[in-house]
Amino acid sequence: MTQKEFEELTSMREILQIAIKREEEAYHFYIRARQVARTPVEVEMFTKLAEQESQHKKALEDQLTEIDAQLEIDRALSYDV
Amino acid sequence: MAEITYLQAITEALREEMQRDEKVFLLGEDIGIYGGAFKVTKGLYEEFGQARVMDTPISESAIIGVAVGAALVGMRPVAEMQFADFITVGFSQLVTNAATMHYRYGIPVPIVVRAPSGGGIHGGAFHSKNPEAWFVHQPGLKVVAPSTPADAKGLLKAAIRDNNPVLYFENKFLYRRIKEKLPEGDDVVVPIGKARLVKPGRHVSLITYGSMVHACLQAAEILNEQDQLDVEILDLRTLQPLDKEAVLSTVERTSRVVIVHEANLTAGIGAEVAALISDNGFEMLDAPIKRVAALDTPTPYAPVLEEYFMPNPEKIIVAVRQVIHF
Repeated sequence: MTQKEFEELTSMREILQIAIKREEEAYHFYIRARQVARTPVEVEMFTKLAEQESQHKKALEDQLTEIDAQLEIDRALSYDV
Repeated sequence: MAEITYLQAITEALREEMQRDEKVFLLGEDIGIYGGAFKVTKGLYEEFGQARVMDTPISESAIIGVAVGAALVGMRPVAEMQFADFITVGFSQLVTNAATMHYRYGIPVPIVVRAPSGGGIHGGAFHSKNPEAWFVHQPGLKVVAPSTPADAKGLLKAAIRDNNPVLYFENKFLYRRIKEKLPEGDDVVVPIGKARLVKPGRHVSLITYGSMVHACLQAAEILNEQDQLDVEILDLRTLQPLDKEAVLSTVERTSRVVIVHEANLTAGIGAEVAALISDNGFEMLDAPIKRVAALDTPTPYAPVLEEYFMPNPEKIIVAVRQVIHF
């Protein structure tokens, strides 16, 4: 892996971490909204929206796992301390 | 239940076996303070000390030779090869000495050699080998290749407790990619020689092990969606001794077989499994057996060539369709 590729992956990692945090915030926002919802339709809508945010978070976490796994392999291959 | 990675499962097995039996010790290159190239032994030096987590010179022959000697005087060494590729340097110690010692002298040689194997990591020809078939060919050795954290942990425990030399092929692509919730503190030992039915099915059997279990699961999902096929997946888990009963049972259920392994095709485990089925279950087959494996070349370094070289869900799907439409 070149230094440029390494820096790109590290930068991608930071972007994903920010995105995961935002998905978490969105999830909690809809959970709070559900708590103050006044009709069953509203409850259902906010539940669905919260579920979607949770799925987004999972997808981003999977990408982060993939990047971390490959960064660790690259570290081992290059024998970096 | 805590979710742990494949790699953490290996570390846990080492820790728990070292706590259980003071005769268990580890040796390998930079496995002490450094924690090993992949950090599998991280923290064990601090916990168990220098006498039980030993850094060695860069000599696989010496590592395995010392392990054999220690086993002969009653210890239970676990040797780490930094990469499975480098096991060739210790080949003679394994196949000439460790494998034959019990046959020649009646003395058990309870050693485990951990070998981080496999490609798909852009490691090139020196850091991506899957050399398991060499050792399956040698009488006197046991060979295991786990695909999940549960099996990584349980099979390593079984390997350490076994009185025979055991080659433990851990797939480094899976190290931090595969996670599973495992019960904490449970001393689960996965018996050597027993395959696992990953997914029952009716139309075709995928017989596989190691990283390819996950490729087969992906292929099975696509085949179910696109072809309405119910695919059975058998994870061999142990390559020597083979679970012949489980292999023949899956053939009996589906009558169609594709064998999948990450190692290259020629004289691989797939050839042995196909011969086993031909000898003992030919009349159960409705189609010729297909094998999906890496190409018979060294592992390419260029990512695009490595992708072409490796088996993957797409290649598995092609093979399944061929045996289904035969």
